[in-house]
Amino acid sequence: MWSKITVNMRDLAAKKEPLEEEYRELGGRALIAQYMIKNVPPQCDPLGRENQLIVCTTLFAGTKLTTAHRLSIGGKSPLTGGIKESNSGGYAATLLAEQGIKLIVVKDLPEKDGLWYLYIDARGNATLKDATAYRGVNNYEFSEKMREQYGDNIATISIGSAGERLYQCASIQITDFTSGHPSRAAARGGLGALMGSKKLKAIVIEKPEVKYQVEYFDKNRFDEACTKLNKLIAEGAQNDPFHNIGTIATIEVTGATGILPVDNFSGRLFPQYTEVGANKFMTNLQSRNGRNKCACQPGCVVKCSNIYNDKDCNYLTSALEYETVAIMGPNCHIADLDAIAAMDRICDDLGVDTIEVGNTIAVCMEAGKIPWGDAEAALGLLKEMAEGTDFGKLLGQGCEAVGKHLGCKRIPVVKHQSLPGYDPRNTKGTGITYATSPMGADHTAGLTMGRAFDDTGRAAQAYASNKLQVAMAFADSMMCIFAFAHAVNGLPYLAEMMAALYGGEASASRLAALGIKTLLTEREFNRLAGMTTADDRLPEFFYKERSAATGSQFDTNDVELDTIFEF
Amino acid sequence: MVTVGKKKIEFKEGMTAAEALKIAGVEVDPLTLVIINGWVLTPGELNLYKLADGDEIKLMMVLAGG
Repeated sequence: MWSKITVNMRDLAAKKEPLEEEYRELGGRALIAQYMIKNVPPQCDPLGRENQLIVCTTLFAGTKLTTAHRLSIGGKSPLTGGIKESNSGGYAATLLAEQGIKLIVVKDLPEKDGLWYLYIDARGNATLKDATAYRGVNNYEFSEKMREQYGDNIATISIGSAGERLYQCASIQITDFTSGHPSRAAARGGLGALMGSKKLKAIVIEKPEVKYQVEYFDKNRFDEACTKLNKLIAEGAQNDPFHNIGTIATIEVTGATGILPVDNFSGRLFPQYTEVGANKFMTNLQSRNGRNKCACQPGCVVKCSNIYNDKDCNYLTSALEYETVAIMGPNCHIADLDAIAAMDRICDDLGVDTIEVGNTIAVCMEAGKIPWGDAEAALGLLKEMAEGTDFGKLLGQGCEAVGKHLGCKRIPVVKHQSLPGYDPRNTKGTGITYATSPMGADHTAGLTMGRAFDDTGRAAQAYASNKLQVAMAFADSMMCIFAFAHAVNGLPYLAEMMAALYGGEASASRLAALGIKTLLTEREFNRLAGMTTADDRLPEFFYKERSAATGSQFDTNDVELDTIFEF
Repeated sequence: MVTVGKKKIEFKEGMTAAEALKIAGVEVDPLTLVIINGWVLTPGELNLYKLADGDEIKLMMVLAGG
């Protein structure tokens, strides 16, 4: 039977107990939604006693399904004020599954000043340990110290100084399986600040002496379907640019079509996008002994991750990703891949979301605080965040706070969370997802980019957003969405695996129902938290300003947005 | 011979990537990357890139956002 660990920060105690039956068939985003609607008051202060930090594995954790070991982290978002689930790769979910732990919840606040970390040892004992010696220590150094203390067979889930300072753009970093560095991020929504408010520096998980054995309803049936699905995904991955290059390959599509955001979502084109594109990236990797085709978690067949070295062939960062490059690059008029990689490293170390920070830099540029395209000045802003200067603390509150402070008229946020690397005027279904997702502007909630070229009709875009938001809600409960992209023709296998693992019917409608229930639960949490339809809108400038690439404006009307979840 | 995806076509001196794609009957949509010898061609480069005998044109579709 799966276990749950409850950490009470008021008592400074950790208790391990069997997971409640009601969460047995859930995982990832679905589990977080159902747990939160029942246990977290929607109107609570995100940094107060009543909010909870929730960490969980997927509903296929412990099985052989490729990429089943995503780690989901949730709570009421300090940034959006709504429900938040942010998931990540890395090694932690694998070790949690091997420990037989599906869920960790962190409740309440300490009564005294201090800092702690949760340590789960090889025998499965969970204890809170003093972390005051690591106050202000950033993620890279912290994970190194933990390896020195406990050896290499660990994974860490940690916050840097940004989380400790309660920056609303603070991420939670997870150690990568290949590089061992804390370079994977549950980045969005300021969950690092929630963890910081609990005075919890980290969760450190040791590889268990005895591996937990998952209980199957019918193991042979599961293995048969899982083998077929893994084969399907592996075959698809062979021809996937994410496997052969990395997610940065997306630049080649978005840069050529006007989807790539440029100069704070100005709608302009960035002709020099290839300077931060696939060829430059691969040339740098190959000439500097970098690597692509890296697995961030054991058993992944997509292997989209990478290790990016500097000009002297020394490690600079890992998983230099499309989102970071798009938002910190062209969206800030920066065409220097090494400078972007340096910013990525600082962000992972401090523990901040590169999308939120990149957009924050862009509004600083738009407001004239620093010049467009000035990478050194952008690095200077990150330095201010790291040092905690007054302006650095403001930067830590994210794009909207900084944009308002500087009097910027064009602030690209939905539900206070800034937009990822796709201009919604040229992929309108994605714009609908940005506007209506309970997560705030989030590309992983339903990116419809392919449909933008197939049919630009508003109804088709809304349909695509609806379908993909449902699909992503159940995919985020099961596996990595990059592997899921190759599993679309294997949905019957996924349905079969659900039935073979938990019993019940093997049907695609069961998967869809999981996604719909998750979305509606999240929407209900947000409604109870005080959000209204006014929160389901893109910033006005996307309706008024045209994309230079296509002449397009975002034109989905309010009624269409308000009916997107009428299933 | 030149390989375009899974098809093989006859090589002709001076043949461009765009010509090879046309002969192979491949329409490149905006989500598909054209990769030759590990190099991603932009849409504007398809008409300029001269192929060599034995080249392999790989077609890879971006399925998800990174």
